Amino acid sequence: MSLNTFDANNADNLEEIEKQFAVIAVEQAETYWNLLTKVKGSKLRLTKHDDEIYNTFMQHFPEYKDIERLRKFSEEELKSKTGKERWRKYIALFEKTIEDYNFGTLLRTDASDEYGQHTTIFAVRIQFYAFEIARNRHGLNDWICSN
Amino acid sequence: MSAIPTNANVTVLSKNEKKAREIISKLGLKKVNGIVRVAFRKKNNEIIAIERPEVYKTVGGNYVVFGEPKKDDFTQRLAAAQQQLQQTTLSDNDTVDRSPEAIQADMKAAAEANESKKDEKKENDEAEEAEEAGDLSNEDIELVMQQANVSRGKAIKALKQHDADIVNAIMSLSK
Repeated sequence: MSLNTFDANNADNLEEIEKQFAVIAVEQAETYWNLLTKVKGSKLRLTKHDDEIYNTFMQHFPEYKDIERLRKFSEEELKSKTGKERWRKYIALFEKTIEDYNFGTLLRTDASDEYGQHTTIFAVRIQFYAFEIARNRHGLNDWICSN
Repeated sequence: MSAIPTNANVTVLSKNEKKAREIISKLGLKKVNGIVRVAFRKKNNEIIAIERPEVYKTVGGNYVVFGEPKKDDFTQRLAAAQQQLQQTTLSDNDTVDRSPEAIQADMKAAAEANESKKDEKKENDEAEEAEEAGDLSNEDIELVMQQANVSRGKAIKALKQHDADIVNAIMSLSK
């Protein structure tokens, strides 16, 4: 199948390709976790736009200024009807600046735990950045670093 | 003290290594002959290899390996092997002229081709090394180099491609 003859509108969803997207999400989570074991989260920078992501996150979601809520949130906060609406507005702000802003990404619901079956949800990349940058800045991930 | 004749095949072992070998040899190990190379493959295709190792087998079926481990770039070896294969198949095809002159000319041409290839490769490497860091922070570059186990040039390139996103850069390099 060459790229010239590939018609995205009529293409089938290949199961293998769909799985790939889960594979990448897991790889991303693994890579990030490995980084946290090597470098203290509070010293880690994730993107060029960390400041912007963080500041806008705090503006749109002032409730996460509460460190405990930042550390541990429930999936409902992101995926309830009102939650979704608020997040959609936030996510749209980064459409242009962040390469993978809407990539499916694993996100820990509890910063004091590893990626686990019950402590991980599926979010988009910019949500991951928002939470993890904020958690890193407040030192919530520093415990992971073994040094 | 007798002198060691020149070119004698003598391996000098450090005191500690000698001791370790003695202790281990008491465990009833059997020497396995004929092993040329032991390779350990790590996660990102990085290979640690021991050339001409001394290999012992325990009764339980475990192996003990002595030797000097070296880091081995598998992709580089693969590329070299492929190049060699291509060259041999190429020279196999032209079986027309086999006079000594022709063979000599062929060899010269091959040597020159090789030489220029080497030069090219060198230039490529240099170009890679010379990749400008731009506004990337040194810490980020070093972090990517460490995590993905790549050269500075490659780390900078990956960071640039991913708009200085460290996680994405590392991921793109460890495939």
